[in-house]
Amino acid sequence: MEILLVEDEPQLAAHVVRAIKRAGHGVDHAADGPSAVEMAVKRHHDLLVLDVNLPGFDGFEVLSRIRAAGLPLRVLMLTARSEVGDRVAGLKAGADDYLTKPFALEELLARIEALGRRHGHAESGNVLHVGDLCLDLSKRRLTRGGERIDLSPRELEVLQIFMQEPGRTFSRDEICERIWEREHEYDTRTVEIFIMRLRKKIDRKGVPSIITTVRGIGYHLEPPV
Amino acid sequence: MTKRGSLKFKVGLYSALLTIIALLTGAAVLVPAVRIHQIADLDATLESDAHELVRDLQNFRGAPVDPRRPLTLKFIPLSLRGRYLVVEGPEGQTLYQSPNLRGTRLQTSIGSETRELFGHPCRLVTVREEPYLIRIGTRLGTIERFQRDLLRGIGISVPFVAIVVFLGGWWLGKRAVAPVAAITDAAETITARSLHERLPVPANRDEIARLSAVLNRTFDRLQSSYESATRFSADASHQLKTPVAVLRAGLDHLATTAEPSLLPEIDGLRHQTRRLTALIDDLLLLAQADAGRLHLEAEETDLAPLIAAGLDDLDVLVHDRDITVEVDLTERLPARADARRTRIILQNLIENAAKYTPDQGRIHVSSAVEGNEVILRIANSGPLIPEGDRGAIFERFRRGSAVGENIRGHGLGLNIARELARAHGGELGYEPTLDGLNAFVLKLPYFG
Repeated sequence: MEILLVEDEPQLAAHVVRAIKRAGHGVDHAADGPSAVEMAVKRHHDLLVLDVNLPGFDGFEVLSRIRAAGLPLRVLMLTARSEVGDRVAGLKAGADDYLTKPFALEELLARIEALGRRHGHAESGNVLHVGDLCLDLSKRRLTRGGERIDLSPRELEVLQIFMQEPGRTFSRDEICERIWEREHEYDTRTVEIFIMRLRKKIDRKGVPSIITTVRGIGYHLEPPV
Repeated sequence: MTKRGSLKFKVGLYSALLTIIALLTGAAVLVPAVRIHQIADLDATLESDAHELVRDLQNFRGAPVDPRRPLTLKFIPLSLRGRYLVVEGPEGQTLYQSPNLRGTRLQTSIGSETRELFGHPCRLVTVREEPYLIRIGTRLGTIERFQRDLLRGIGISVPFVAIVVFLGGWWLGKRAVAPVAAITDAAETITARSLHERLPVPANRDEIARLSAVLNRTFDRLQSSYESATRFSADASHQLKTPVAVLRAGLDHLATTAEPSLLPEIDGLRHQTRRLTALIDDLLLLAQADAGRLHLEAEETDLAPLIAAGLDDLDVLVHDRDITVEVDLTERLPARADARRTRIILQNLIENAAKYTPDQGRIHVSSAVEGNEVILRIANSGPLIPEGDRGAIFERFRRGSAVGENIRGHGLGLNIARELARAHGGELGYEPTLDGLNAFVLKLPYFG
C-alpha cells in the first residue's frame, strides 16, 4: 500500500514512518495541512493517516478538501482527544477510522491493514467465524463445532478482539485499552486472568490452546488449520 | 394554569388589594363629607324656616302679631308643623311649643347642634330674630338612612369590584408577562449545543426589547468563553498527549529492536505512558466538569450489561483473595445515560470496592428502580469511614486515610465518578448500610 502520513510532530512521524516501512508499505510524510493536500492530489495514495491538529489548516479541512477533490483514498484519523465529538466529526467528514493518541504502533499497523482489507469486501457483520469457532455478536453467543459455550461479558469481549483479526498479535496493554478504554488500576494481570479463563472454556483436551502466548509481546488467536 | 407565585397572579392580587384600600379610603372620606354637607343644608333649611316664621308673625293677615302674646297653632305655617318648634318672646317667655316636644324644655344656645330627642338623633337650630327667639329642629332620619345606604352600597360593591379588578389585573399581568414567558422559553432552548442561537428582539424600544438585547449580549459572552474553553481543552489535550505519543511510539520501536532481557523494563515504561494518558484524560474531564460543559451523549442505556461486565472485572480483581461477592440485581435497569461515561463510573466504584475490602470480607452489589431513578448500591465490608471523612472521600487526590500509600491509584476515581453522575442529573453518595457495610449509592435518571 502507498500511505500518506500527515503529522506535524517530527519524532512521532519518524517512528510511525519507520514502523510503516517495516510493515512493507510505501510512505510519504507531510507536516502541515496545505502540503498534505498538495501531496495527496499529486500522488495517488491508498491510505491517509491524518492528524487532527496541524499547522496551516487542520485535519478536518484536509479531509474535506481531499473529498472535494474526489480522491478515493481511505482515511485513518489520529486525534488527541478521546471525546466522542471529535470522533463523530471525523467520521462525518469522511474518515474511515480513527485512533486516539497516544497509540501503540502495533495497533496503528493493524488498523492500516484492516483498512487495506476493507477495500472491496464488506464488513462480515455480526457473526465472526474462525475455524470451528462461531461468535454471534448480536446474540452474544459462542459455539465451537456447534456446541454452545457460555462466556462472561469480558471473556466475550477479549475473544471478539482476537476473532476480528485472527493471527494478529495483541499486547496485554492493547487488549486493556480496547476493553476498558482507560488505564485500569490492576493493569495487565487482569487480562492474563481473563485469557486463562477463556482458554479453559474454549480449548479442547489434549490439543494445544488456540490462543497462543507470544513471549514478551502478547497473544494471538491461532486459526485452526 | 395559574401558579400562586406567578407574576400575573400577583399583579391581579395586588391590584385587587389596592382597589379595596382605595375604595375604603374613599368611603372613609366621602361618607362624613356627605354627612357634613347634608347637615349644613339642613341647618340652612331650618334657619330659613325660622326666618319665614318670624316674617309671617310680623305680617299676620296684614298686621304684626303682639310679640308678648302666646301663639296658637294657627300662627304656625303648615310647612313647619312637623318640626320641633319653640318660640320665645322678648323676655324669654315661651310663646309656643310644638306638641311633638311633649312638654320637654329645649335648652339650646344660638347656633346649631345635634342632640338625641326621644331616642332619635335630631338637628336643632336656635335663631334670634327680634323680638323672637326661635328654636327649631327635626329628626336626622333621612340623612342617617342615606348614610346607611351609602355604606351598605360600598360594602356590597367591594367584593365585586375586587373580583373584577383581580381578573383585570391578572389579564394585564398575563399580557405584560407574555413576552417574558416567550423569552424564558427561547432562552431555555439555547443550550451548549445551540449557543449560537439568539433571542428575537422586538422592534419597539420597551423593557422587553432591552431585556432581550441584554440577554443576547450575555449569550455572546457565554458563547465566546465556551468556545475558548473548548479550544483550550482541545489544545491542552493535543499539547499534553503528543509528547506521550512520541514516547509511546519510541518505546514500541525500542521493543522491536531491544534485547529480550530489556523487554520487561520497556513494557513497564510503556505502561507508565498509559497511566499518564489516563491521568491527562481524567484531568481534562474534571476541567470540563468544572467549566460546566461536560458533553454527554445521554440516551436509553440498560445498565444491567454494564454492571455484569463490571462484576466480571470485580470477580477477577478479587480472584486470589478470600472475598465473597453477593449480587442482587434487577433484570433490566434502563437509565438515561451516556454508556461510555457510565462505564467509567462503574469501573471506579468496582475498583474502589475491590481495593478497600479486607480479606474474609464481602462485597454486596444491588440495584433497584425507585420512582424516576435507577439505583445501584455497591457495598463492601471493612472499617466504616469515619463520619467526618465522608464528604472528603469525594474530594480530589484523596484516599482513605486508614489505608496508607500501599494502594495504587491517583485518588481521582470517586471524584470523577461523582462529577459524571451529577452531569447526568444523578448523584453519587456514601451511606453505611444497616449491617455495617460501606456503601456507595449511584442514582441515575430512569428511562421510561
